[in-house]
Amino acid sequence: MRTDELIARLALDARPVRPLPEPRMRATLWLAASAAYVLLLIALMSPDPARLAGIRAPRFWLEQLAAFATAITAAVAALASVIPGRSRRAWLLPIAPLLLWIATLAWGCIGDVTGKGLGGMTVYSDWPCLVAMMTGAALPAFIMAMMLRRGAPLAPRATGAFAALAGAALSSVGACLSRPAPHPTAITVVAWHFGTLLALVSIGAWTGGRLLSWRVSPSMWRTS
Amino acid sequence: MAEDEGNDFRSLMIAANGGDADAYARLLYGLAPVIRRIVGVDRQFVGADAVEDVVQDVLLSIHTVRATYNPDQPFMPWVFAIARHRIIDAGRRRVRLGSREVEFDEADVTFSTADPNIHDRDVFDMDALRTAIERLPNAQRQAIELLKMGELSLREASAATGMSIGALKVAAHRGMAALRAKLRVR
Repeated sequence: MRTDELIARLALDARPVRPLPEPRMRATLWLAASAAYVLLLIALMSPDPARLAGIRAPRFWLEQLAAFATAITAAVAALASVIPGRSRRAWLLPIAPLLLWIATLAWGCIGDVTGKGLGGMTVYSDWPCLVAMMTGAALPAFIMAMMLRRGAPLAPRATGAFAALAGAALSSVGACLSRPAPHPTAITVVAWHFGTLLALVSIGAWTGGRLLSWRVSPSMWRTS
Repeated sequence: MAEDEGNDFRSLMIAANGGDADAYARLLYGLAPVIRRIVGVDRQFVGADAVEDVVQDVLLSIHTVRATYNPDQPFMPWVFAIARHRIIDAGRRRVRLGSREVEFDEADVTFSTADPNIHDRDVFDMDALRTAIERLPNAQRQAIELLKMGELSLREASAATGMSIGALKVAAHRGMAALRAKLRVR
């Protein structure tokens, strides 16, 4: 097909389109829907919601705050990464809250070792948290995928990784808040929550490379 | 000058996203040479014969993701970002395909020796060939006329003649052998 013919075909398809809102606005919408879902899961899974009010450890709440901030900033990064011409500075946004999250966990590990000795480094089995994280990340990831498909797949692997990081971080908060008792050691959170998070980010990067592609209508492309 | 052009394109894009087909056509016709220049810079990377394909890829991509253009932002950086990514995609595709394909010059003859390349020789006396075909047995003549001259498929020739596909194959083979013998073509 000649370029002139292609342009004529494209012009025929010039339907009105609504410009996408800014990534921050879209991230807010994603967060509203996803947080409502995670809160619902917390309400359904938590046997004793009053337990949360009794948690006084500032490290616990700082950890949840950092994970929550990681989720928001990763969502902004994912949604900004599908807008052509946007600065990639948005990609750096999740670094600070992620480092804070890691720091709170390191703080917890050090506290466990100083308080319990080497027993503080025991990794306990935590399958319920893994299931809670997978369940909690499912809908946010789906909503994010739908939102990302309206954008341009400029860096699909990075976009997929950011999207998965956003969903996994948010679901990690949900998993921690819905537990009947605190984690016995911080290293258990590192192993199970961060292990699940890394697995989900890897899956997100892999899936993003395959799912996010330039969707071009075959009727317009080299049909003659 | 370039800034004015960018502003014009931006106005056209805003109108196009509002559904103005004329503005959209003017925008794309105006953008095509700009994109061609951008892609042309990287023609070594994408392949000189693929430049126009990449230009079309970029135009299609612009069309597909036109909702991502924010009217409050400059237009040309948005176009350049799409073009840059599509050029990289095309270059990667070329490298990937190049690692699996072997290029060779298009041969103008079927064989390297002269004997089998009979087009330049005077063996094709069309009258003699026509006469030879007419003198073939009826089934062989029909098979040659339909399958070789008419380029029908075996199924179509079978439907036209009522002969089975197997019988057509045999008749065509025997007819060709008879013609070779009569015309003394190896």
